[in-house]
Amino acid sequence: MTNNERHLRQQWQQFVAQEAEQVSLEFDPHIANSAGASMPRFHPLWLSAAAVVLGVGIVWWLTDVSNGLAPQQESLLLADAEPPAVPMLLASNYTVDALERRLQQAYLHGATESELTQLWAQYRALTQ
Amino acid sequence: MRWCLMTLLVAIASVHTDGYSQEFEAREHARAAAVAAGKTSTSAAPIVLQEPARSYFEWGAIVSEQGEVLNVRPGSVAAIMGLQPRDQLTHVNNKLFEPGKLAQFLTHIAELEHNQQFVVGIIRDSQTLQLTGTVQANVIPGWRLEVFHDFDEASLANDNQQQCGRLSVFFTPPAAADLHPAFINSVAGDNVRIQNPTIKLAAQEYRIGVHELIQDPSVRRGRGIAPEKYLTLTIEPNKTYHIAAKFIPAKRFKYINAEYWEPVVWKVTEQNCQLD
Repeated sequence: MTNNERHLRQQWQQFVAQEAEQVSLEFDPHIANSAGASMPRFHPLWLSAAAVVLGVGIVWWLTDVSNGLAPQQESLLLADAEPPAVPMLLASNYTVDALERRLQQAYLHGATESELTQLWAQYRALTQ
Repeated sequence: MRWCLMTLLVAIASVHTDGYSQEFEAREHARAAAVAAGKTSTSAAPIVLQEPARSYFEWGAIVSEQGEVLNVRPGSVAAIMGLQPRDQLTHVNNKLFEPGKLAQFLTHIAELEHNQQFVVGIIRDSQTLQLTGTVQANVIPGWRLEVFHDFDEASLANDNQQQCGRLSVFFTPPAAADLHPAFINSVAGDNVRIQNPTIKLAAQEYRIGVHELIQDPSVRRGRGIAPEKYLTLTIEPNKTYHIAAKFIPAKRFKYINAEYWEPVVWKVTEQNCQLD
């Protein structure tokens, strides 16, 4: 260690000793009290209570509706409901449909009695 | 539980049977349509008939020019709404029926839309009635019918091969011997054009893939695309091998592996064969 280094070390030790004498730990009573006062507002407890209330409310509401104790909701649903839409299907008997169409067209266009008799005979054969 | 299971199986079996009897009926109608379409042209070009899908509403009643109901088909929309023969139409959806103007009434009925409610006014035994019905339209699927006039044979033989024979499904085999039509789907693993009834092949052994066309409504087939069955055959020069589907009645219910039939050669005829 050089003289210069030794001198610097001595200066550092004096500085540390001087600063160390001024160090003190203090607790602000106001901060301590306010920290203690915040303890009752601990979040999980508050949320748990709200969750219980909410859960009970949902169960009560569902039970109420399923037991028919809320007729106004049911009537609203019925009022809004439309008749069920039936999908388009393949004809149960397209040949009969086509023959009915020919018969109707025959009456529309004033077919002769013999034509009508022939068509009716075909129709009876298919439907009886 | 056991009865429920049995009922379910019977229901499934009946649906299964209905499906195949309908396919059988559809094929018969298609054959009749092919013959009828074939008569409409004298040229050798294929006839193509096709239509897009469309819907229609047939309400199931036939009406005279004066508005009298002549006939009501049981189960139809007209029958469900309570219409009866001899009812006299007075209006439809507040549009008056004018005697002699049947076309207007029919046009209005035809313009109704699927699931739309409509009201028909009638007079029955001097009593005025309002009958309410719901339109139930039906749909005709899109379809295409292609009819071939030529009976040209396809050739799978190379020009450098000198001798050849033929496979044919042109002649209908005798159903009395449980022999039914078939078609050739593949030869030596290569797919062939189904519409060619005769195939010219170089003289050698082949593995031929065949599909059955058994025309018996009692036949039960597995669901999905039927797999082809194979026939190994040595083609000899100048011979035509007529292929058929041999129905095996004792195995009519064994449709899972298509055990109910086998591809067979039901006839061999002599016919000169030359490669081009």
